[in-house]
Amino acid sequence: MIGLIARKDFFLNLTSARFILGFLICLFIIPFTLVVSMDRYKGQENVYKVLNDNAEKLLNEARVYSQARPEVVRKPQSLSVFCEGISENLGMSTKVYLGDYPMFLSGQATAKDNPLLNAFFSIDFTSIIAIIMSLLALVFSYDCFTREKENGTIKMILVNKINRSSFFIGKLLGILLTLLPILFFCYLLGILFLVVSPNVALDSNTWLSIGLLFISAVLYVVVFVLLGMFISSMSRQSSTSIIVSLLVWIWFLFLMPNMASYAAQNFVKTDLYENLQFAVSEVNKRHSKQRRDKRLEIQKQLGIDGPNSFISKNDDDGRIEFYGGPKVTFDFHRILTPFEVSYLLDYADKKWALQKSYVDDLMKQEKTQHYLSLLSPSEIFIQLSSSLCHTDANAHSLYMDKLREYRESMIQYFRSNKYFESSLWFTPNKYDLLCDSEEEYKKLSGDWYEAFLKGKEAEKEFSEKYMPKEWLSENNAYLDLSDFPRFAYKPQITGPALNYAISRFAMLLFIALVILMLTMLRFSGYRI
Amino acid sequence: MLQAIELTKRYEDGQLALDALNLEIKPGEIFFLLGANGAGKTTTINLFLNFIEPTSGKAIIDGIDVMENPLETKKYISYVSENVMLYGNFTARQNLDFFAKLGGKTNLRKEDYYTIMRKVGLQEEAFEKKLKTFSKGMRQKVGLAIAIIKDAPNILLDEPTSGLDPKSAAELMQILNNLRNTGKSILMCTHDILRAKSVADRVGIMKEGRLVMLRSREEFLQDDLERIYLDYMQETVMMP
Repeated sequence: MIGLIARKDFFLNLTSARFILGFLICLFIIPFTLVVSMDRYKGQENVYKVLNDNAEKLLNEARVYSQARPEVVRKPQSLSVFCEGISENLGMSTKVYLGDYPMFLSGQATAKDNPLLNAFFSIDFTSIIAIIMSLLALVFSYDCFTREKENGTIKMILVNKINRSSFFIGKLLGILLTLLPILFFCYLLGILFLVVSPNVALDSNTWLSIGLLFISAVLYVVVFVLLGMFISSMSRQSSTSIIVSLLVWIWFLFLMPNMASYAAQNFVKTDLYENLQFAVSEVNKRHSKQRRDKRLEIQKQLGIDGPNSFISKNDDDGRIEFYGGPKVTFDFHRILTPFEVSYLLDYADKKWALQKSYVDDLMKQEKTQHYLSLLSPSEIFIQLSSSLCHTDANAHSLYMDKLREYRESMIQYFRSNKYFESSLWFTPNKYDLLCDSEEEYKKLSGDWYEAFLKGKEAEKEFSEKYMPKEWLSENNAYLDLSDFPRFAYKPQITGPALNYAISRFAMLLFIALVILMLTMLRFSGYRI
Repeated sequence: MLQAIELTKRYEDGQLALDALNLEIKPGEIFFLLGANGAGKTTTINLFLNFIEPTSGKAIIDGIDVMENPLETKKYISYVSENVMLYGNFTARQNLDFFAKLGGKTNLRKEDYYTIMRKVGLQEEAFEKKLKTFSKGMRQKVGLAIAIIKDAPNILLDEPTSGLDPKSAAELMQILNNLRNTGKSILMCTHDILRAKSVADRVGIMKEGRLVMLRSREEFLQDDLERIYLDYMQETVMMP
């Protein structure tokens, strides 16, 4: 009997105008969305390749270990084609410093970055599925009881040996049989786009995510079909039912998520980013002072005015690179470096305490928004999808945790190889190549300056005759950084990500079961 | 056989829709239940079909209590409603096929459906046409075909002639006559006194949930049914 009712509804739905219209909408919008998403993903891939190649090149061109500061570029997630999440709100790369913990990714996130273009709204496959499939689910279910009542067929059916729950299940299956092929078609298109794309490698974990994405979409459709059936069971007329269904749809899809976002920003206050920057700059000032004091102390200890050198580069993150100069400069940096690194790490911890509190507040705000959004099935579905596609705030947070762990492994690398104590931290020049005294160096550099003023030829002749060629950076070899730790992290559907996905899945299931029970209860007393 | 024993229905809002109805419709009998709107005719049918639960009393179909064994009684009953819309995107045969299968008739062939549709007077060219193109009379015939194809011993009809043209109504009465001759118990709720006079074996008039009058065919043919009915209706109108 259930099968008979389901088959009847399936056939009637297939021949209805709403099915043809719904299918046509999907046929046009889904491929269009996928083309846009795939194009965006390809753009991100191109940006990633350029940034990553540059970062690798820059790292491999380090001649001293203090310059070995890797830039980590986040590989775009292939599944962002399905659900973009917050990936476009964030940058793609970050430099790993000694004096700072990685807090956010920065820089370019997309190949299309013309700020003057505002025409193209950002919408992805999951959002489209959330909008269209929920609408279709309501369109097919809002009148499932009222229409049978209006047509007098519900009585003609129930006059036979069939109870109300079988009729209800049959109706539910009939609607699902109609909608699920459309949903399957949409996901099949999405998978096809991924499979034929040369940029995307689909491993078992990606397939698992795609499978879970489809199952969650099925559950999402079930929730909205049940919601439509519940509204129908509460209504006497289809005209009332359709109005209520549309209001519910607008509430869940548009009003609820925006209200949740607004409420989260108002209930959970975060400090202004400018305040954080100010607090961090205060810490930096204290750091600079301590550093300056130490430098003066060592200068005094060595009896010099400052570290002189032929070529010198340095910055606030302790990146020092010098070529040529007196031996006392070498000694100066050798004494200074362990202190300087220690200060950097110490102040990085101090700054991170402030930054972490700010990031925690942001996450708290984001979590509040998520919890408030749990009242909307569509938001749960979008959260679940972005979690499976590794494009949600949790995935970003986990990625940043891994980046901070990577920074620790980098520090450990320097420590275990004793590079903080090594002269290779600040110069590739051998001690013997340097001038014995400051006076000797000052005379040499003074003579070189005179030759420089005379012109290129004179300067070249002087350099070749009196100065070691290693005093020029380009005459020194690059470091062999083959054993330098590289950041390698691939998000997996395991651990917290899996737990998160399961919890959202369970919520959708719970909502579906609650609506199912309510609808069955309501329909058992439905006046036909 | 259809039996109502002290059958009473009071709705949640306190309205007494049916008040201790006692009725017995034997095999091979057509019983017409007449009455104004809200008199309790449809409530009676709904109680026999178990669409609503009685407050007290019993509805019995072929010796089985509807309340105790509702699904079992459904095997012995067919129903034709007032406004048979059916499924517009199905053809007449597809509609018949769906309801026949629901009624447990799973081995019917196309020709069997055609035979029934001919029996209720549906034109041959309409058999494979979608129902949304049908007139009300044609749809009513399909509804009746659905009731007939189930071959249940009891048939309930809720104002089946409402909105039908006189020719279609007369054809419907002829079909009911034939069904009575095959031993079916037929309960028909209607306002249509003319049709009652033409085919009913017994007539009951309902007023405010009570069966206020019961006449056999011989009695109501002698007594001028229209006058009796109008008298009852006037009393209803005059009530404060």
